[in-house]
Amino acid sequence: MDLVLKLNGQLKEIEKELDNLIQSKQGELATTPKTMIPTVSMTVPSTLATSLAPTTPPTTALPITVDSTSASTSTEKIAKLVKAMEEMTIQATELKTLKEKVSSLEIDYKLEQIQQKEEERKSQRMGERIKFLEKDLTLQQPLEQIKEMLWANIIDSVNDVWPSIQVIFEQTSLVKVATEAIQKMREELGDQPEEANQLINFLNSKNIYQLDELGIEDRIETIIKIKNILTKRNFMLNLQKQCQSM
Amino acid sequence: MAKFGILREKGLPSPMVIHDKLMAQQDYINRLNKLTKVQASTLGVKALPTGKVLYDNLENLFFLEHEVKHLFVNNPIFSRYIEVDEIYRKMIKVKLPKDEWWVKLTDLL
Repeated sequence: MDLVLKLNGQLKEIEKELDNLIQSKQGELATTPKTMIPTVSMTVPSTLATSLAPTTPPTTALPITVDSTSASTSTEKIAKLVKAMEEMTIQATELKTLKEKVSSLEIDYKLEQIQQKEEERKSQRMGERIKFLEKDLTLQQPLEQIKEMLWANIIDSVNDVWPSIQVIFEQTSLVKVATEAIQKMREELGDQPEEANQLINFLNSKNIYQLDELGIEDRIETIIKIKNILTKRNFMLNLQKQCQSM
Repeated sequence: MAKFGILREKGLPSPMVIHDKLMAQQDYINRLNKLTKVQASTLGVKALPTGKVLYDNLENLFFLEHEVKHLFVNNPIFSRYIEVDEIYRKMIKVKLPKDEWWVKLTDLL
């Protein structure tokens, strides 16, 4: 793009130079005395005509007037003019070549732009493909499938063992009731088991008269009553042991 | 029950409802199905998908699959509980002496 702008600048400069040159030549001719001389056909090559078309007036046969007294100088001037025209022709050719270059560069630029867009589209497609492949690399889909499969197996197993789970929970709730009963019994008994042992030893150490004095009529019956406390304590401990083992 | 605790730690939802009651089987299965949908949706593995990374990702599920399948070596029966219940009933039947009588006796000591 820079190159195109640069060439356009150069072209404009060349066109300006050509304009200046033509104007200066016309100025020179205007100052000289006017004598009609045979018209010089200014046959400009078609390439020059086309290249100068936008900026210069149409080139036609230029009326040139030359002073009769200074014919030799006029001839020189004409020669100079012809030379200038030749130079102009060369410059016009160069101009045309440059314009062609510019147009070819513009075409190249457009082609490059098209190619660039195509490359962008291609890279975009590649990016999408990379994302897809990256997703594949995380094994998202296989993992999901494996997890679903494992959960399906777990659910099947749960269905199989559910009756046993029900049994366990039923037992657990019953054990909970038993545990609460044990706790209640422990509180109810308090220090009685220790006292019961002491009392049994005490009663066994007294004879029947001593017991009569203490108001105890039947030693065995009293001890059996006392032993109820120990029996209950033993049941409680046994129950506790069984509950813990479950 | 201890086993259930471990299974819950590994991601198996509790089959209990409020007041420690067991929920209905179908309700629990529905709950598991819902969980499956949530658990199965994954973003995949972020690290290089090696065998270890995959195993780490699925370890809990492998554990659950195995443990639930082998949750009961022998199917639980009520025989042991019957023993417990027998002891409990026997214990209840034993009558303790009345408090007044007991206080009189302990005063002798």
